[in-house]
Amino acid sequence: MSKRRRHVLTHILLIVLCFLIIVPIYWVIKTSLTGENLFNYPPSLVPKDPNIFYFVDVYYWIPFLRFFMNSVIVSAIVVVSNIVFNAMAGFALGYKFPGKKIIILTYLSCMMVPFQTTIIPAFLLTKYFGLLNTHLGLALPLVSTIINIFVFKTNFDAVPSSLHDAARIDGMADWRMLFRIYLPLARPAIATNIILTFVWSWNNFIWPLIITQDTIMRTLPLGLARFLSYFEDTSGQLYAFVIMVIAPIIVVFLMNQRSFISGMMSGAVKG
Amino acid sequence: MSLSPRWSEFGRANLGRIVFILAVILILVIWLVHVRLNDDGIVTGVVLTEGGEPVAGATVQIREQTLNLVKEPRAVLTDEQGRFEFTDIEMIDFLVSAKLDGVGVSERKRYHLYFMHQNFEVPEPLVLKSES
Repeated sequence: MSKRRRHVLTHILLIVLCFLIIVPIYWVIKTSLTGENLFNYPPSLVPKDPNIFYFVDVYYWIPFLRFFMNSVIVSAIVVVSNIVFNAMAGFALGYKFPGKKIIILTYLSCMMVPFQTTIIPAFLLTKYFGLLNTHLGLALPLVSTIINIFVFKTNFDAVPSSLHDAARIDGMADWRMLFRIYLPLARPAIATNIILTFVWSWNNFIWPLIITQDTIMRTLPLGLARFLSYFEDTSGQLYAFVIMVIAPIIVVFLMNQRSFISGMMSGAVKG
Repeated sequence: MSLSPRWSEFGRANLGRIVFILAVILILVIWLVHVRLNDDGIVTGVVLTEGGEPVAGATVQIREQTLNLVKEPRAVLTDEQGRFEFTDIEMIDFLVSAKLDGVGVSERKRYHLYFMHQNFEVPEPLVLKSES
């Protein structure tokens, strides 16, 4: 097969793949604007009489703004705490100290424990701290995530040691070194932290379901579950709600995607 | 006055993000101002006969289109020009109809608003048709 023919075939395959990925997303957007039933025959590709009234319905039929703000507050706590705590942990793991290997092994083994198995102790701890039904309690299990500690560690390992030595000779304290030298050089790691933790926090369902008792403390995924009990799954309102839930994730990803990809790549090759 | 090199570099690197965030904030402000200026909850319209004459004293009913089926409709009477006005309407999806004994009834029309308490002029007149 000639190089040109292989090139054309690759592009055809990529176009088909793009089409397969885009069609369901397009269908959700189209249904949210038209309310057309998924099983309409013949299916129409072009939206007929599009309007935004399904979005208006969602806004007023459930306390959408409250759920949205809860999700935003919890995600903000999670993102900020992850950047601070993970950077500190990743920085510390860059040093040589007794027991470092054991700590890294403990981290790695903890990653293999599924969250579902630790829900009861996590719930009891949250209750002990008096954080049930609070934003801080909702954010608590995600305030630091192990995989992101390693993302920071690999990025910090790539910083030349001469920078560290120069700062040390100038008498810089560790915390200043971290926040003034290392963090500004670790933008891809910060972007990776922001995107991963934001998505995990935004999509979290089981933890908010367990620790929230008041409706006003619920987050968007719980609102979506509540919405499902109102409407059949093909209604325009449901699809509009889905768009309203995923839009912030898409915006956060698009705003950080370049740094995110370079952060993931640097983590992949330097392990 | 010029920005420090650090800030101008930040601006160049994040121009797309800055423009996007400013555009979102601008759209939100415009929308909120529009809502603030049009949120008295007044729904108005006109009732006519089939011949196009205004109908005075017709009863116009507004009923919320909602999951809660027990909500009571509200009603007002039209003035001499055939105009009606509802105040403090807290609905986003509703049906409007008019009737006058001896003249006829209009068909029910459904309207959807963009926000709660939106001032709204029913775009087409409610035309009374004899029931026979």
